[in-house]
Amino acid sequence: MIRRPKARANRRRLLFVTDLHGSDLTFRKLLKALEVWRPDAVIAGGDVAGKAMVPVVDLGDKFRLKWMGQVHEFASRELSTFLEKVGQVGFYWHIAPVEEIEAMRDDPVRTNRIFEEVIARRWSAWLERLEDRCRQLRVPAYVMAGNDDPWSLDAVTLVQREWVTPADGAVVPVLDHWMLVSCGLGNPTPWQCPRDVSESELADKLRSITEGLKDFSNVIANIHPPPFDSTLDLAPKLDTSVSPPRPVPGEIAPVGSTAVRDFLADAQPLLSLHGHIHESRAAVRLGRTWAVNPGSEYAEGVLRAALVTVEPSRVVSHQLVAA
Amino acid sequence: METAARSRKSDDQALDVFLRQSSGLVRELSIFDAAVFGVLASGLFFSFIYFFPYPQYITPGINTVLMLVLGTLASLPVIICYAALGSAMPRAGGDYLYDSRTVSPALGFAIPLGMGAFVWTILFPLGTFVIVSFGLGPVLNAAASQFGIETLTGWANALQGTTGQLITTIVLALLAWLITIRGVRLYRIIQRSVFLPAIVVTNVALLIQLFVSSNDRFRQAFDRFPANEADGITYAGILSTAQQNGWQPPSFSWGDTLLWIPVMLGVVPFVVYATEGMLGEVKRARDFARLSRALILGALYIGIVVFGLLYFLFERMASQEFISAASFLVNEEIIALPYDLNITSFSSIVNDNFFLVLAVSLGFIASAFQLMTAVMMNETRILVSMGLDRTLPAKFADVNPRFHAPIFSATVYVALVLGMTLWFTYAPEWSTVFTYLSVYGGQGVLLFGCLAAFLLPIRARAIYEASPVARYHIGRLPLITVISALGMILYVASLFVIATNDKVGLTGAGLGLPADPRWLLIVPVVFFLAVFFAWQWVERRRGIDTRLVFEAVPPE
Repeated sequence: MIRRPKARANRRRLLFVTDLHGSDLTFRKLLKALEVWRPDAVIAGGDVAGKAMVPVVDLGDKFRLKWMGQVHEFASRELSTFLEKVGQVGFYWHIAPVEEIEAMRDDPVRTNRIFEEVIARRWSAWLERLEDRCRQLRVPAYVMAGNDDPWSLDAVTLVQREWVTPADGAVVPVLDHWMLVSCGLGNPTPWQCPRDVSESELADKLRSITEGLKDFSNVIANIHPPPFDSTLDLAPKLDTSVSPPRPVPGEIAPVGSTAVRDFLADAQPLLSLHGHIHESRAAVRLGRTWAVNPGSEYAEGVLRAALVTVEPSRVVSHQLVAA
Repeated sequence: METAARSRKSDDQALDVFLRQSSGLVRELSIFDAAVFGVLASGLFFSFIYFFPYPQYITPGINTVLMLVLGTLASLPVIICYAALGSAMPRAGGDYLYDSRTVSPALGFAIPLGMGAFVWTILFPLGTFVIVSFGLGPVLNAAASQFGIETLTGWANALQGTTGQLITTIVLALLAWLITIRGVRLYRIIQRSVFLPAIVVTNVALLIQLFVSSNDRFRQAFDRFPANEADGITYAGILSTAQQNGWQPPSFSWGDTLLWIPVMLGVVPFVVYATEGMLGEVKRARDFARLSRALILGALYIGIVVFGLLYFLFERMASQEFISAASFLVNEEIIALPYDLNITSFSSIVNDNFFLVLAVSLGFIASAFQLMTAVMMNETRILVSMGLDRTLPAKFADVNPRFHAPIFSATVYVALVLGMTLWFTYAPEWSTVFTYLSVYGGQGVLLFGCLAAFLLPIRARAIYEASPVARYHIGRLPLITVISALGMILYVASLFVIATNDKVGLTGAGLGLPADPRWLLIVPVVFFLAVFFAWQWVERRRGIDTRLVFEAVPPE
C-alpha cells in the first residue's frame, strides 16, 4: 500500500523509558540519550523510586557506612565521590549521628518519612534537570508514577512545568495527533507496593480515565503493568508462602494484569507502553495494538528504552534500544 | 563430624544464587578452549607447506628457522591488539564489532564481510585439497601397500580428482555446518576429544621422528628408499646434479630471510582471527591479562614449536644444503622426484611405517577440517552480531534456544560456501584468484583490527576507559596505542611487500589470472558497502534508525 506523503510528514519518534528506580547513572544517560536519539517526545513509565537507603554515620571528622557487605570510613571530601556510586545503582543515603541512625531502626514511621523525603528530593532534582534538557532540545516529556512509587511523590510529580507534563491518571494530548492515557497503578504483587490495587480497581480506574474517549485509533496508553499472559509479563514464579517471597527455581510465570489485558482487548489503542516487569523486555501485537515493554536494568546502570515511530493511526516501527 | 560437614555443604548449596535460564549465545568455552580453537584454526601443518620448498628456491639465502621465529614475534602486536579489543568488547562479532565502533559503521560492516567471510569461502576447497593430498591420500596409499589392497589406491586417486574433491568439500562443509548448528558445547567436546589429540599426536610423531633421525641415517634411508632406488636418485647425486646445473651452496642473506615475514603475519594471527568472533561464548573474556597471555602462548606454540622446532629438526636431518639443492632441482624441473617435496614425505622416507603415516595424516585431516569449522563458527557469529544491530535483517540474530547456536546464519553461510565451491570447481582459475584474495583479505582485516585498536581510546573513549587494557601503559602512552601503531606499520609494510614483490608469489605475475587479486579485493568491499547503505535505507523507511547502534550514550 502506498502511504500518502502527509502521513510521513506527521511521522514522529517517541522515546519510552520506565523503571529507573532512583538510578542516577541511568537517568543521566536518559538526559544524554535525548540529544543522541533525538526523539520528538519522551514518555516515562513510572517506578522512579529506588529501593534502599544507606545510613551514613557522621562521626564528626569522618563518616562510616556499610556498602556491599563491607564497612567503609571516609573523610568528608571522599564521601561525596563514594555516594555518587551509591546513587548510581539507585540507592539513597541519609547522613546522621549514630544515635539518630539507631533510633531510626526502632521507629519505622520516622524511617519511612525520611525515605520518602530522599526519594522526593532526588525525583524533584531529576525533574528539574529533565525540564532544562527538554527546554533546550524543545522536546516535550510526559511523566507518571508507578506502583512502587510512594503516594507522597505526587506532590513533586504533579507539578505542571513548561516542558514536562504530569500525565498520571489523565488523558493529555501528545504532539498534535495523539492522546496519551496514563495510569501508574499496579495489579497486586507479593511485595505489596504503595500503588498496588485489585484488578477490579485497576479496571475501574482505566475505565474512568478513558471515559470521555470515543476513538482510540490515536491513543497511546501508558499503563505501568503489562497485560496478563502477553509475553511482556514473564517473571520468576514466586513462593509467597514465605516472607519476603522468594523465586521458585527454574519456574517462570505470567504476572501481568488481567484488567490491563481486558482494557487493551476492548479499547484497542494504537500503542500501549508498559514497564513493571524488568526482565520481560519485548514488543508484541495484541489485535490492533502494539504493546511494548522495554524492560529495565537500572541496577547495572543500563538505560533500557523503546523508540517507537508513529504516524497518525499507525505504529510504523518499534526499536528496543539501550545505553 | 562427617555429618556436620555434609550438612554445611548442603547449606552452602542452598545459598547458591538462582540463575535465569540462559538464552542466546552462551559462554561455554574457557579462555584455554578459545586459545586452542585459535591455534588449531591456524591450519598448523598445512600452512607449513608454503614454507618449503618454494622459499628455499626463490630466496636461497633464507634462514628459515630465523624467519619463522622473527615472523612469530612480529605477529605479537596484532595478537595483543585483538586481546585488548576482545576484552574491551567481549561479545560475539569480532572484527565487525571492533571496526564498526571505532573506524566507521559502514567499513566495520564491509571489511569483515568483503575481506573475510566472502573470500574465506576458498578455505573450504583448500582445506579439502590438504585433506585429500596430505591426509586421506597418503593413508589410503599406505594402507594399500601395507595390506595389499589395490582398490584403496584407486580410491585415493578418485578423491584427489575434481569430482572427488568437490564431493569431499560438500560433505565436509555440511559436517562443519552440523557442528556449528549443534552449538559450542558439542564443538568443545569434539575439540577436546578429536581435534586436539589428533593434532598433538601428529605434532609429537613428526617431532620425534625428525629428532631421532640423524643426517647419516637420512642419507642412508634416502638412498635406499625404493622409489629413489628405482629412479637412481641418491643424496649425493642431488647435491652434485644441482651443482652441475649452476646451484651454489647458499649463504645467509637478511633480505631473503625478512622477505617471508609477511607470510608469517598472515598465518600466525589466525590464532586471533578464529577466536575473536567467539568471545561472546568465552568465560572471563573480559580478563585482558589472561586472554592476551593465552593468545600469545598460542602464537608462540604455532610459530616456535610447530613451525620453528619442526623445521629446525628437519634441517638438522636433511641438511640445509640438501634442502636447497633439492628445491632448486625440483623447481627448475631438472629432476622429478617420485613424491612431493615436503616434510612429511621426507619423514616417511626415514620411516614408512603405516601407523606413522596414519598418525601424521590424521593431524592434517583434523587441522584442515577444524579450520573449516572454525571459519564457519566465527563468520556466523559476525552475522549474528550484524543481525542484533539490524545492519542485516534481524533474522540473522536468531539463536536456537536449545543448542544456543545461530542456525539461520550458519545455513546462509554454508549455502554461500557450497555455491562458491561449485564456482571454484568449474572455474579453477578463479580458485587461484580467491586463494590470493584470502591472503590480502586476511591481512587487510588485521590492518583494520590494528586501526580499530589505535582508535579505541579516541573514538570509543567510554568503552576504552571501562576496559581492562586501559590500565596498561608504556611510558606515558596507553599500551594499546603503542602496540596498535606498531601493528599498523607491520601490516602496511607486509601488504606493500606481498603486493609488489613478485618473489613472494602473491602478485599473480606471470600466471595469467583472470583478475588482479590486489585490486579485485575492492569489489566485495564496495559491494558490501552498498548492502550496508541499502539495508540502512530499508530500515529507515520502516522507522528503524540503525545508526543509533553506533552512538555511544554516556551519562550526562
